[in-house]
Amino acid sequence: MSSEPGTGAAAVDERRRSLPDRLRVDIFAVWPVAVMILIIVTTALRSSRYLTVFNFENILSQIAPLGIVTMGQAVLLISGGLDLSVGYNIALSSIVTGLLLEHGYPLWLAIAAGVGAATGVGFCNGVLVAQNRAHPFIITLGVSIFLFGLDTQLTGGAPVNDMKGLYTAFGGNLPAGFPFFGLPSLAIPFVIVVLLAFAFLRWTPLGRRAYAIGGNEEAAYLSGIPVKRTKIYLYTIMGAIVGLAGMCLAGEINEASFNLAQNFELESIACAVIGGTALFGGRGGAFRSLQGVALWGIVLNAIVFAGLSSNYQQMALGAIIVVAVMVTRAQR
Amino acid sequence: MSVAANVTLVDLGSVCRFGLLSLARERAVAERFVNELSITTSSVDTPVRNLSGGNQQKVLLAKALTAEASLLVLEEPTQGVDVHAKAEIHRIVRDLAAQGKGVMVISSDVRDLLLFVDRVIALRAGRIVGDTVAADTSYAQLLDLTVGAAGAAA
Repeated sequence: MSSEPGTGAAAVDERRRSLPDRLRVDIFAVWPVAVMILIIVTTALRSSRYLTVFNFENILSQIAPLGIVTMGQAVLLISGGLDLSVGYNIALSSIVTGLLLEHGYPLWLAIAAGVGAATGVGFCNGVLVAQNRAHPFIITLGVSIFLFGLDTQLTGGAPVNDMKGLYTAFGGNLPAGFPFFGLPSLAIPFVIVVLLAFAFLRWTPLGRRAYAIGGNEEAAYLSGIPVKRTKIYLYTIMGAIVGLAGMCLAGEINEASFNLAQNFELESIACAVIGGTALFGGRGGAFRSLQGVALWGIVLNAIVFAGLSSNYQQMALGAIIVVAVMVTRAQR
Repeated sequence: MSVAANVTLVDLGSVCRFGLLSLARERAVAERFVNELSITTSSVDTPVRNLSGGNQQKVLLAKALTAEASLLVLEEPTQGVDVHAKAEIHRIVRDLAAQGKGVMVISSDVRDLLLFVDRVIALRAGRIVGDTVAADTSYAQLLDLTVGAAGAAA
């Protein structure tokens, strides 16, 4: 953003940047892909069962709910915000839907209520963040703790174990007769959300305003952007995305419970950051964040193929997050 | 954000088609302002933070112009700007005035201010201490009004 007059001394004219400089930026942007290729090649050489359609379908369905949330989280991060309530908000949407299904309400009504509940929470997050000078970190953390209590209260701690039609829809692969038949059904909402996030950030005024607010909120305000209203819109959209992820996750594993999506808030932030989205706003994108999600899924899966315990998954992911942050800083 | 994204930010509606941004229109608008204000940049895709201070200032001016307001209020428009860019900002402000637009410049660089404004209102401790035609006012007079004895008496 161009808010600071008089930064002439520090400014560098684009034309004066040397060619290696420009190439380095591109290497920074694609490093997750390079690491992915490295992991895929080494794992494929070690195991003949690795490079199969079945395995990659498995990765895809495993990563789809987190990937959907990551797209929304990336948009919020770009706007200088974030949402720590996604884990228990996903749980809330699944619980609302699950309880309604349990009481015999039709599927469409249960889904509408579940997604609606999550969207409502997103709207509340937006209003609280917009009206408050406190950082969204602490506001959405508070909402998250509130939701944890609400989720446990609604279920009495016991999960809903039959998601009925939702399980039929998202629990398996696309049936014969569908386009892309055989693919995990979760791939459909995932791909749609990624494309929508890309289009949103590139072609909508709201997406452009997200970049402007994240780049420099003061400058965005002075440029006549309705900062508060924009934030409310963005958090509400995040709520709807979270609701969709809740339907996907609950359908996939046929369960609704308060711990359905534990750690999703931090994992979605991590995926977006691995993909090069700036933690404090202004930079990032849908496809870049998708790279982070893909690397996440590939690493989780490769560790299983290496015969290592899930403890190593956590260690590897932790290391990748630290490297990602260092790479993003070096890129500046 | 790029030069193009910055220039169109104030009035995004003007570069939209069917509610979506037209990147082609955006480039066209940005390129028009880059030419009109002679902003030195390798392209309209260059991030604004990579521009020199004077050119950043001109991008801000372009943003203000897209609002197509009849009155512009510029605060310290020549601060941190090199001599060449200062002269261009003077020219742009004169052009705007010639088009019949009102331009109010707030500046502490009094010597520079006298070079391109018509009327000077001097303030001292929040009160008006002088209201003169710039062409008839010297730097010394203005200095005397704002920080010297003349202003203290007024």
